[in-house]
Amino acid sequence: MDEPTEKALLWHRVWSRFQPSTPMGQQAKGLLSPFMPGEERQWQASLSEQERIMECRKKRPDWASRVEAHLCRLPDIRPILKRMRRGGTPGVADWFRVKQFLWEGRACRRRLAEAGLERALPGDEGRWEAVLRQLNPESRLHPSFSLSDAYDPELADLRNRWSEWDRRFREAGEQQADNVERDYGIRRNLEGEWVVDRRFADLPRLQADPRLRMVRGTPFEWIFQPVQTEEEKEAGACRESLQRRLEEKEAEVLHRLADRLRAETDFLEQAVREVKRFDLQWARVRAAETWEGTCPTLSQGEYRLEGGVHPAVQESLREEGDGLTPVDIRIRPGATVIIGPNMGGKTLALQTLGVVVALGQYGFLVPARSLAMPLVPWMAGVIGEGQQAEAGLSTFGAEVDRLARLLNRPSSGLLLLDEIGRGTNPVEGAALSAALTCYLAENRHWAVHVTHYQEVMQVEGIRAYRVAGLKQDDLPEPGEGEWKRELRSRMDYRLLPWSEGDEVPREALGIASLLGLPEEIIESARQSMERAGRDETGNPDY
Amino acid sequence: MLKQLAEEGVRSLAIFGLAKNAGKTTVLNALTQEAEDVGLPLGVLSVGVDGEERDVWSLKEKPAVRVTAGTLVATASSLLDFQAGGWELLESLPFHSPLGRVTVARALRPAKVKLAGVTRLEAVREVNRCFRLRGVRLTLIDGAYDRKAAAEPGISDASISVAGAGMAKTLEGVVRKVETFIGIFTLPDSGEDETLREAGLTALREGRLAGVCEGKVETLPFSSLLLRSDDWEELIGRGAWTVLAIPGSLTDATLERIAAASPLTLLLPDPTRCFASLSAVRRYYRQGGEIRYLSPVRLAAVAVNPVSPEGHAFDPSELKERVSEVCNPIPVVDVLRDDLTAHSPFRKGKTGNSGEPAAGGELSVDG
Repeated sequence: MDEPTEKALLWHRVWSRFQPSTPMGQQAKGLLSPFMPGEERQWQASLSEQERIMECRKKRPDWASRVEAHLCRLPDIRPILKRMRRGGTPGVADWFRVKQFLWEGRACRRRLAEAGLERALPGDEGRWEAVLRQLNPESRLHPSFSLSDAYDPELADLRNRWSEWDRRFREAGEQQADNVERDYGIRRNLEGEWVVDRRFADLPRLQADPRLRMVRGTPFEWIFQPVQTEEEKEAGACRESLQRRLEEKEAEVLHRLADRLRAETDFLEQAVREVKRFDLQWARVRAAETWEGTCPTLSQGEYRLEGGVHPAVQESLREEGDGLTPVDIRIRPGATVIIGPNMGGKTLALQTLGVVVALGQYGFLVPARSLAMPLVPWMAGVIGEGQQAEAGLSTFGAEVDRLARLLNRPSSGLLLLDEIGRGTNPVEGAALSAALTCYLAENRHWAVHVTHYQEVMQVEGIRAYRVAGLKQDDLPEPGEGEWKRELRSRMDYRLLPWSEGDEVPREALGIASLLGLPEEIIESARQSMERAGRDETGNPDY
Repeated sequence: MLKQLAEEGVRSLAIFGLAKNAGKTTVLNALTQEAEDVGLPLGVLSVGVDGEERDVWSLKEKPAVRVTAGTLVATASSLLDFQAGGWELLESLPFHSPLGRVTVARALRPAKVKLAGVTRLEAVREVNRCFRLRGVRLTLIDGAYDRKAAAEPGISDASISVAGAGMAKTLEGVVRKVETFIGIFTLPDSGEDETLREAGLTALREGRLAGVCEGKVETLPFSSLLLRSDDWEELIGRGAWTVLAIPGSLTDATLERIAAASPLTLLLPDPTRCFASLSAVRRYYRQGGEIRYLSPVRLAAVAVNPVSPEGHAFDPSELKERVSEVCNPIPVVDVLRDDLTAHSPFRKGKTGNSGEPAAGGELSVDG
């Protein structure tokens, strides 16, 4: 489906309901491809899985919220795994993310097991736990991460010794400083410095005291720091040395961890892939719940849509307090034509068909009572205004240009055409429209053509539908309050099979009058039609 | 100071500077030290990354915040890699700082950490929630330069403002600026006046002005006082307003416009929304008007730093004495020279600042 088709089908308003929870799923959404011919088995399997998920979600909303919460907390660890593959060593922040992934992934898998869906994620419980334990050397499993003593017995020893020498260093310094403070009656600040007023009486003695050194001054004060004692120097040196060894040991633990987890990279990569896949399935179901989706079935060569609705249009109409008439239609290879009055919902029927089929092909449960469909390599529409001023093309030019390119495609696809030929003079437009329909009727595409031209209905070999339309003289009066709603309530939007002898609907003038076109114009148009009818048939009552 | 604050029910304390390089980090470090001394489980977070490069006291490269073992921090996880063995990473939160996703970690030994600031109010609330669940009794919120927003009642329960020598070239200049800040920040609250409170809550809930006319609250079709002339006339002509509750900010221009029409009681959500100058506020009071806050900010103390990063310095005792005069009864501390535990935080009555403003806000003085 290309961009103009997506735009014409209001696809983004439907697609935006598809919201994966994980960063991997969100990224995959942007790259998602529809299922293609040849992938029918995978397509059906994917849909069956969604049906199971939907059933579980419906039965146990609390369970669904918990699964959702786990998915939302799953981080993207792919950059870390890539770095590990290249021989890099992750830092603590990275390991924390990997542990979070394992913690939440394992919990998610457990939740899925409660509903018999555990096969959605790879490995078994034991495998997830074994990898998690690599990042959790203590016996009790917990979600946080640190380079705990349990990683290496030497870590605990170094840390204890560091703490001991740190204590000795502080105490040695404290001892000396306490002596200074007792001698001079001054106190250190939190930086361990003495801030002494320049007018301090004992300043000369203080400046000469070997236990202090002056480090800087302001116009008002001198700042002193303690000079280290031999004991303090020794404790400080030991602490420094232990600090270095500790950092080396911590780096070593990180390297060792990387080596151990590198052996698990295949499992972790597979877990990421499966989490992403499940997240997409879960998000598809959540979206489908908003349109009460049903499972499409595979058909050979025919689309059979019953009760299809366009979710976005349905939502808008619902907000306005109106309902939507579902679309029933069958499409076989060749041409299917839809004819009907203005504002009779022909284009919406085309958009609905397009959206429902596209959702089906992207592997969603569809907004329809039922849908049987083949998988096709492409679908495209020529719908709505396609004027390309920047390309130097008029509405008609743009339409024909796009149509020509679509007809030249080598494979068969679903072609949605909205009033081809309406952008030029009616004689040539009708001729072109009919000729195109004739061409499509003998062609391999699944083409649906919405039209007003009576000539099109005379093409042989087409399947045709008409919008049931308005009952005779059932147009609301011009100026009647909410005419749009009135019209909607009187219009029968159902698609009915068209049979020879059915009249081509002519309600354009009545609707133009409703829309407020001056009555003299409407009247003049009516007279003109009557004259044309007499000229053609010689029958003044036409 | 911290122990008393915690005992009084303060669970989050904002520290914000009145100017750039005011000495906020030094105050923060003093408070983390005090928390350890009194055994208070602490959490630290920042509400923004400021551009200070050098410490205002030592003029050395600006130190990171010092935390003691057991302290919880919320920062970008990448900033925790610098002391790999020193942290237990506890929880990754669903929002980002400018330096990456925010992670809550516990210091396993004394550590220094740069705090990557969270930028949204909901994020601050989420960090606070996470800290509390993990046993934190007091959260220190590092409000970056001029981030008075950190003091918003929705974010913190109390605050300490930091005034530094860098605010002005002269001691007099610094004192005047502190006086302005105190005058504005300690204006009275809505007190026990139920109608006033109802008007303020209505304005906040609806995001529109709410007026009180003949004792009744009415929501007005304007979201602020930045009105066109005809809207302004409609507002004034709509009723004999005695109170106008504003959901947003107040500036000198709007204050003067109201004063020219009819001085009345203006109710703002909290002091961080008042951008009017002290002189304009004083004029407004003289004309018979009044400004109050729906939710006052509890200013627990003012910290002073006599050394400016530009090189000049003031006599520390004189600075503290002069600033104390305009802040009274709010205590003024110099964290590098004073013993913090010896100071009690300011608290005025159960309902906050209902009553007269602090000394700096003496509104009878000519502005």
